[in-house]
Amino acid sequence: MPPADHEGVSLYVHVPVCARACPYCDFDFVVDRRPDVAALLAAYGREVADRGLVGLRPRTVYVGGGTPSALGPDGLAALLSALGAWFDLGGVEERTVEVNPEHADDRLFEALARGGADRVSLGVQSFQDPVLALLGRAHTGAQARRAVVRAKSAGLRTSVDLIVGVPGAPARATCADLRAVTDLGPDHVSVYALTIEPDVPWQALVRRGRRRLPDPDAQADDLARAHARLERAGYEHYEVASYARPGARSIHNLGYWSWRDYVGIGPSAASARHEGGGVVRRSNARGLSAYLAGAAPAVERLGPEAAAREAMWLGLRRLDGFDRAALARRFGQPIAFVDGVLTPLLASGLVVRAGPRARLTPGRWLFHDAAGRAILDPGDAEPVGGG
Amino acid sequence: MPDSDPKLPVEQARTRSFCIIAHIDHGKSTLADRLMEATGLLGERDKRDQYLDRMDLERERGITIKAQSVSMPYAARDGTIYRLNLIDTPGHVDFSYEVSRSLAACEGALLVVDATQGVEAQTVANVYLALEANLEIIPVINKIDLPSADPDRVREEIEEVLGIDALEAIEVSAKTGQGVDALLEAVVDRIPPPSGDRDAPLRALIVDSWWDAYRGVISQVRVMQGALRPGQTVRFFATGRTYEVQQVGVFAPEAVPLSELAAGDVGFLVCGVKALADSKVGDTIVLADDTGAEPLPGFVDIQPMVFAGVFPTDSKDYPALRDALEKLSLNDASLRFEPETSEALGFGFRLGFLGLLHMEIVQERLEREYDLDLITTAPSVEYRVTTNDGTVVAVDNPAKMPELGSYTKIEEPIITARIQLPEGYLGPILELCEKRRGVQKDLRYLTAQRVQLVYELPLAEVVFGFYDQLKSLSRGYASMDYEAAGYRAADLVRVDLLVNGEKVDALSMITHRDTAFYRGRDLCSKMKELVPRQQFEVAIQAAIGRRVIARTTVKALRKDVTAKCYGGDISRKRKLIEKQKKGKRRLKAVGNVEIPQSAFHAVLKLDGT
Repeated sequence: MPPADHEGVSLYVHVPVCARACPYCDFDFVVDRRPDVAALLAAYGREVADRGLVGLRPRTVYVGGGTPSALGPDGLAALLSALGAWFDLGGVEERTVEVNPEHADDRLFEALARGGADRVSLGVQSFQDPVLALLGRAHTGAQARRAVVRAKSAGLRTSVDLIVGVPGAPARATCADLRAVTDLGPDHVSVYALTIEPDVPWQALVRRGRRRLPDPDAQADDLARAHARLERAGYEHYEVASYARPGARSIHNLGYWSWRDYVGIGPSAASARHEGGGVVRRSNARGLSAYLAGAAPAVERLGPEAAAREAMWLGLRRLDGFDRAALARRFGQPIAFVDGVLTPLLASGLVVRAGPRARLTPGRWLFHDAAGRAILDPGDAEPVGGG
Repeated sequence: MPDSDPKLPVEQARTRSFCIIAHIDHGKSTLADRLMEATGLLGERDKRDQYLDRMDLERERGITIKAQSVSMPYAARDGTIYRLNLIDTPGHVDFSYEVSRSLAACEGALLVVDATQGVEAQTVANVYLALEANLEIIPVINKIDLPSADPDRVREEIEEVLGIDALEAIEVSAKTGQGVDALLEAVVDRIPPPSGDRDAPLRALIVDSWWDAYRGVISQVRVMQGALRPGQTVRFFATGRTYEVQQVGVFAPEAVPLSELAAGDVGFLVCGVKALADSKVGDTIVLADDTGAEPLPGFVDIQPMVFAGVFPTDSKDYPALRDALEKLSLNDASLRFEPETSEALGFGFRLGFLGLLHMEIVQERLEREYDLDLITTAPSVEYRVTTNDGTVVAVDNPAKMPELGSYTKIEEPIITARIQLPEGYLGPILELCEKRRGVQKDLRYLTAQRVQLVYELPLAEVVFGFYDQLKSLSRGYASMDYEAAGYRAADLVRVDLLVNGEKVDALSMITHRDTAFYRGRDLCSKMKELVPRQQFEVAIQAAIGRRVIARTTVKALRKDVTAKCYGGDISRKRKLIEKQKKGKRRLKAVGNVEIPQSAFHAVLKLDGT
């Protein structure tokens, strides 16, 4: 019998380098065309040793960024073998590496396969050159198509990231992207509406009249379109932003929405440990230089109630929702607490009960934040610094 | 206590009491400073700019609100020492009654006109008040140091517009001090000394009063006859209350206690009055046992003309708002407040003001001095409504206007507005007055370029941004003063704002039937900008009774979702959602629609057309 969703530990490794900066991105990265792989690996190794993580037996491994493929085939091979040396990877069910299309050549995929990776997440974003130009991406639509084909022929499971609702994109660009995806047939698709955070360079471009801010109605159209087309093509819409062929859901990502413990290595990476009904979350310092200098992580402790609320909010990102009794058990709460929090959502029709589970009402997944506002209680979470 | 200030003479013949009449910014306060300096009252060391304006706020606005007077010893060229009583007057239309009471304490007035600007409407209004009070008016042409000064033109204007002989106008520069000596000589020569029998029964006029944290109420008085002395028992006519005189004296500029204030003197009185409202400007003080006494003429118990609801943004601040209002009213007898409850805004107060400036000042002081975050509803006036059974009720809150069909008549307050402007702006200003339902009473050329308009206007039309429009249409050159001119019946209706069918009481407005449609439409479109999109469509309607006259729709929100949420995002995104939730708590729920505070200012933002 396979383990339950919340069992096991997910391992995440953050590779904080990119060959160039994308104007919409707020992830933690530095722009470096020739990253110092040895220094980075040494820093990871220090963190693993300091935190006593040697020998950890994760259920999934995910190498993300940044741009892991910017490390090159040799760099990635070295990283994967280092992970094998530090951790016990015998029970790993899924091993994913993020790859940018401009790096996706046969040599890279061979290196990944040799290093034990079985899945690649391709940072396609779009197959349309004008959209890629708006997004400031380094690859072309043709490169993106080739990347999917090559990954598949290298025997890797594939996931494609798409960004929709890009203001200024040609008419029907999203339709064309969705057609390209269904033609190429990756195992998994993630669809994100372009989000512009307050402090990203896109804002400066807006001020200079070179970009516009996204139109939420156009984004709603695109997201609804993606849902319809991908489901029609045989993908299951299993999380707000995630679609998978049957059996191809991301085990790693499901862990985040199923209250699994996770361990994050590298700058800005987060770890969460469930203990005594609550959650202790550790977030490494942002910025490669701060990380290399050994800056202290931020630690947040959620008591059982706050952790349960957070878990309900996260659990509802899965379109099949969560098992109310399982959640109550995991956070040491009576089921009445869970049902009490859900009451206004059930009353407003945003959430329904389906047997033991609670889930967003079909067709209402575009209102997950509204559910979050109903569930979360700003008074509960008290961040604790240091440690 | 000194028997008297040795520097100040006590004889009536050597006393001169006068005030300064000027338009805002024409230099009244600076001139007062110069006079105090020239008489040695204000040394270089303790010189503060514009000593008479006590409060920062006044300094910022360039307006003197609290009348404040000083007594100055002046050694004239003839070798005689005089006591000059300078009586400060408030300088805005909202305070014309207080101006008239200040004038009643004087024998003369310095009419200060800016040599670069000429005569303004407000100056005209105050000159009329001074003439009514039979004051000797000395025209003073100020700012002659400026390159653009044109004293000859201004002299002509004073003669043409005001009908005052300006041949002997004194040219001064309050800034440099030029001409101030000549002005002081003119004060002594031309302004008559006070009269009044010092042995007659006491009659003292209250010119101003204010609250002092240590002494209680301090009254500024002009003794018209008889004398005020510590130990006397006096009676305030309007309230009938009696007090024992504790102290009398003058400001020079700090308080100097004296053994008496006799007929012709101007000074302060401390007698244990507890509430400012008990020492009303214009009231008469007599000896308690003088039972047959008649009051001095001219007393009016002034009533507020403009009303607005004031609500704390955070309902927890209600007690703090109440305390602040109580403290403010200690020093502002014309401020009225009473509790008000709004379905939309919760608990607050309905405030009554003398006028728009007064309202702005109070609002600003509440926010600045008491650090309160407030929602102020659109200003309203007090209507007289005759209900079906013939009773007349006063309604100062649009939300409380009786339903259509339950009344036979609504009357609204009318003002007479005197507007002066360069003739080049006449067209747009006439249009503005007509649009605001004005009735033209007079239009005349004061000079070849200067026009004076007299209009009767509904006060309600004036409180809706009229003054701002007047200023913007004339690039700031038009000036206006107004006085109450009774009530008049009008075809008025209450326009309600409905959000998804629910009436928002704080946004109801009273308007003329002819403009109801436009105002309703404007209000709906303003609200559309201010009401955030919700998960469902929100209908915003303006209605008269049950009849909808305008409608807009806030489209339903179609997407309310975070794009991605993985391990590294969870903490930050959760906090973002929690922050949104906190923000939502500050929204006011009307039915199931959440409305931000800013929407309650929507009525204020209508341009009134």
